Amino acid sequence: MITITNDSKTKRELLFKELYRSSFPSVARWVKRMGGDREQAQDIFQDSLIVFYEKTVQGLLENCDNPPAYVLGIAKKLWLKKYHKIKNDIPLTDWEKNISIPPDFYHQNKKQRRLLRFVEAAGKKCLEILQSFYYHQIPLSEIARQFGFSNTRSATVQKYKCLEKIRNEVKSKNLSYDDIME
Amino acid sequence: MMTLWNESRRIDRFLSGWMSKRQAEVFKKQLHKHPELADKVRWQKRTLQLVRLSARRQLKKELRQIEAQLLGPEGDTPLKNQITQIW
Repeated sequence: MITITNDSKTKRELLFKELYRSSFPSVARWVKRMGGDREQAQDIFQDSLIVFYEKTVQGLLENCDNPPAYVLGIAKKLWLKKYHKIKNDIPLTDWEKNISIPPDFYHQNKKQRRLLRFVEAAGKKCLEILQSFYYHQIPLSEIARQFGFSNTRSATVQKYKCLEKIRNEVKSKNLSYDDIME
Repeated sequence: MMTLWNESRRIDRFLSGWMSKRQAEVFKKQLHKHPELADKVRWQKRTLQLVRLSARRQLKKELRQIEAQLLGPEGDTPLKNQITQIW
């Protein structure tokens, strides 16, 4: 049976806890100033941490010397995006203006959400392997260790088998949804 | 004969930008010639997008748990005090 260790998850948890302590109060104060409530602050802050994490694993923040300021900058941009605020109403510094947010961050249609639920239910272990590699950018040698494969090559083959399995399932499911919609 | 996963690997290398310029050009020509390969590329791209969206949802769940720990009864008192002062 494949078992997964929690090394990567533990590292993530430490990073997030540190960022909660260093950045959440300033994001919460800012959201309050914009007329938001505590729930909105928590939601925007969590989303900001996700964007921050993605940029970190992609190696885009190697020169970031002030993570709390960067997280606040992301929060401002997400606030604009999520609540469709007018940019001029929220003063952003030049470098905050340059912070990019993934274009698909708040854009999920109904069909995508249904497919997502299907993918999550269809192949949990495969999905974890694909998420580890493509999203968390964990090297295949580490994935082999975490998921109990004998070597990197076995993990590589399994990754592609999983990709094919889920790709074929997504395709068939999506086509049937198209049929329903027609 | 090319195994299926080798084909997926080639598609993966193309979508991830890991091919050289020349390899990518050759691959693009193949896409025009072989509609079934183009179809696989389209679905692989879509699948990877779903993998990303699903990972984000999972991460959001992790973050809710971390927040519950930090702001819960046994949580981080200095942080809790700061947040209480704001609201």
